[in-house]
Amino acid sequence: MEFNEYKRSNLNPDILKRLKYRIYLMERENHKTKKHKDNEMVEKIRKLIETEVGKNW
Amino acid sequence: MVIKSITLRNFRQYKGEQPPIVFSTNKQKNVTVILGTNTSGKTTLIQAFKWCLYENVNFKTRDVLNIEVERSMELYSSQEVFVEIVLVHEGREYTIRRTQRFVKQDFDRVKAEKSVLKIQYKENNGEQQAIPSYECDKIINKILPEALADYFFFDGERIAEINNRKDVVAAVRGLMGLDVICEAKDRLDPNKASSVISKLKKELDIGSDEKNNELKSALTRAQLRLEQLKERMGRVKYEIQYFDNRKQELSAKILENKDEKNKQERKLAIEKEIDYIAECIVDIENRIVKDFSAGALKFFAIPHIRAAIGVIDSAKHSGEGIPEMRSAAIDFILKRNKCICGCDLRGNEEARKNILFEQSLLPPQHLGTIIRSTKGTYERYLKEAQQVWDNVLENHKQYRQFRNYLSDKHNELDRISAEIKGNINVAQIEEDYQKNEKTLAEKRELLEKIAADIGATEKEIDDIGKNLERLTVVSQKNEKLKRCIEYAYAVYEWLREGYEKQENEVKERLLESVNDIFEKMYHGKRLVTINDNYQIVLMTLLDNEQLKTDESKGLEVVKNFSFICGLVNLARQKARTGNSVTDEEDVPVNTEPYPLVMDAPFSNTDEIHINNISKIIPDIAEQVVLMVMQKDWEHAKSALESRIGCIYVIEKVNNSDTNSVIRRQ
Repeated sequence: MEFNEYKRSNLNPDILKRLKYRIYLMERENHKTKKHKDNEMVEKIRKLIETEVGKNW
Repeated sequence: MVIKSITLRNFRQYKGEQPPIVFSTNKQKNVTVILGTNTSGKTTLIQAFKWCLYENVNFKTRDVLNIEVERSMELYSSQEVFVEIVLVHEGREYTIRRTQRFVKQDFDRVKAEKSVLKIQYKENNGEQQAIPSYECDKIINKILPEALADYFFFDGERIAEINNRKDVVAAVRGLMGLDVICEAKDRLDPNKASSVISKLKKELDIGSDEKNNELKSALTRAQLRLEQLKERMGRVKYEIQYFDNRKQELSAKILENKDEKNKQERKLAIEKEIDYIAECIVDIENRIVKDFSAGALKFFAIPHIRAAIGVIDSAKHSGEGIPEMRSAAIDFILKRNKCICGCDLRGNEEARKNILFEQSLLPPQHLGTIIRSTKGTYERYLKEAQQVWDNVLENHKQYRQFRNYLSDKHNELDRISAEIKGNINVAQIEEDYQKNEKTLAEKRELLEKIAADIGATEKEIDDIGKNLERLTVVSQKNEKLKRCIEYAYAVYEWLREGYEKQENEVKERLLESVNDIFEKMYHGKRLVTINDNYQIVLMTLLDNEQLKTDESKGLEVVKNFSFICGLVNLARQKARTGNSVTDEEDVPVNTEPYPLVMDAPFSNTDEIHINNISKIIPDIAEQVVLMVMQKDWEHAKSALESRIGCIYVIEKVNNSDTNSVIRRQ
């Protein structure tokens, strides 16, 4: 495993929990529908993380 | 997914529209048996499922139209083939129909048009809703991904391939609901170039942070420099003020002591004159000494010389001989008989007589010439001695004059010195004034330079400030991005750990399940192991040592059957337990019960294995559809009897290979 210089312990647990489940549900939904391509999913997840982090910034 | 029915029209052997085959959905009697002889159309039924769902068939020819129908077609007439499946997935009933139209364009050619897939689902109120055609493939994929289809609609004759397929890992992941976690994990994986984390990292403007720090340091340095410059400027201004004041003071003093200045200047001039006169006196003294030294003897001999001349003048000395002439010279002339004038003296007595007379005036016969010469010498000495005297007199006169001048100057100097004695030194003030002026000019120049430096530093600070302002925006964006990356890493770690945990669990449980099933099916002593690629390896126990051994075709069927059943059993257990296997923080998995549709599952297996397999199958899947030959059915019947929901029989019409019908028994 690579060295993770971004690992921090002071992450907001609520945001993290929300992100975990929303990313998983997003993936599960796309797995069923195959609506989005790989790069689109990556973009969606990236935007989701940015939005969640942005809300509490 | 549970299959309710399948209806075929003109699909391969099934000429015309067949009555629907309704599969048992009873949980206890969950087995539907379809009996048929070789080439009656059992495999065609499996292919009908795959064609309907994926338009994929394994026939040597891809034509699905019944041959008898095709041959009976009139020119330009058309016929259609369809397969319709009714199934329930996630509590919703879907009707899936694929239709393909065939047109006879000439006598020996039938053109197949593109097949059309239509899906409808039943609303809660019973109304049918059509799914848009562009969504149909997605729905099929959602119900049962094509990659997994072979594990649920499988041909027993091809069962040997099932465990060696390259996509077996993906299939297991799919069945166990791990593929979603795996995909999610891969999409966040920081080691993948196009992952979420990699993309977030790419957005980071790493250079800006360094630049920001550099600029902050530069700003601090510039601010410090500015402070120092301003402080220095203050000091220099103070110094200028001081030197300016001093200039005023010195100017005033100089003005106040203007007369004194003149006197001091006069004094200096006299001092210089005194020095000059003193030098002149020394020079005259030197001259007197020099002249006297040279002519002292003659000077003191003057009285004697004068006395000697007096003596000569008083003495008789008629000798008036030719000066410097010698008597011997006269003898020579006489001897040669020729005068210096060229006159021949022979026979010229008169001339000879005159010459002899001249000889008589010369010494030693006469002293007059010598005396005359000596007198001349004495007179010259006298003249020279007089000259020495005159010079001494002249020099002495000058000496006296200079001595007087010197005395006068000393007197004047004494007088002026007495006058300015105790007064301030204006020249010194003047000098101080000049020094002050020079320092003042230097300080003013320095002030200008400092002012210029301050201007440049202020501009530099201003520029740095603007750059920092711009970079602050970037820096804030970076901070946010770093935060996003931290969350992405946290989610990734959660998925990775969850995936590894569940995969290990799946492997263990799959191994357990497969071994359990294999043990029930196989009547020998073998052990099943599963490698990292989910491939099954059979081991034989010999003296407590596990050995890999060769497999017969029958054993291979049992092994792979165990694998499929183990896999489906595990998926079924997952579906029943839902997410209960996971902790609150664990990754939720998603599974759905699937049917097992098997064509000729008992091929290459002996009676005991058929019996064993039959006992297990109904408990493996929610729904089981078995397509078997009558001869195999005889061995399976007793084991399955209590679990049979319905039995269908495929019959060849008129023993034809191109026309079969299905009827419920």
